[in-house]
Amino acid sequence: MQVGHVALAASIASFAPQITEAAGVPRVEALSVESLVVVFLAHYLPNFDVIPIKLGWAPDRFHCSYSHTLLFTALVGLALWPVNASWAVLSVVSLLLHFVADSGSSVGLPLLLPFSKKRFSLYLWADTGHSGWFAFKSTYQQAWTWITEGGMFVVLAARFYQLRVWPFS
Amino acid sequence: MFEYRRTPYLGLVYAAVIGSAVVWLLEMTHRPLTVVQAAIFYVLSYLPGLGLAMLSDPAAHRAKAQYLQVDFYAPREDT
Repeated sequence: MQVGHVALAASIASFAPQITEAAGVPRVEALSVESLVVVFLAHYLPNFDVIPIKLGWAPDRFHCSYSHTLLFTALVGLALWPVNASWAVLSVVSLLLHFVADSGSSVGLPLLLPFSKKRFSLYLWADTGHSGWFAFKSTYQQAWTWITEGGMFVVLAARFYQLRVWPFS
Repeated sequence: MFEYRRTPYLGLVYAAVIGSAVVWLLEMTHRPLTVVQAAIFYVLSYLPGLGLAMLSDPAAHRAKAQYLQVDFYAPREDT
């Protein structure tokens, strides 16, 4: 998933009150600056693995490896918990939903690293690289990327309507 | 991107169905959608609608099959 991550992250932020209340941590308002910053940072955190690749410090195969694991999610949650429990909960949810969004990609997610190298994938679309114009263009030549990512924008619009956010205010 | 000329138009049909379903399920009786707001849902519904239409287009299947044969993460020779 590429552009769809934006809609998914914003949708998660729109559910911040429900998520935090269900977890029993201090409530965070829907689409508040706090929810948006925490959710977007956490949601995009796994894809920051492209930075060391771009800098030449890691091979291309480093993408979708340790940053896309349940262990990484747990570490982020545990690191944030003493700082702000609500941020920890929102981050864990954002990370897990990032993995769900990426699960259609053929590259697969090694969710159980370092305990297992098995990669989980629904093979809905072929992965064509971690960045660049070709990866972007070729992703949108495939049907399921439109279905999943476009669907996320419909969900986000629905949330805007329910929360009376412009243009549904 | 499309082999069939009908694919983008078929996407419009799917978008109408998706948009109608979303509006029907979502719209609150005490807060009806304006024409512009409903139009936003129909326009956005074209995105997944186009994807559904592409499921029956050979070009999309060919692209996926072609890309699945390539390892885009294989070590490059210049590194």
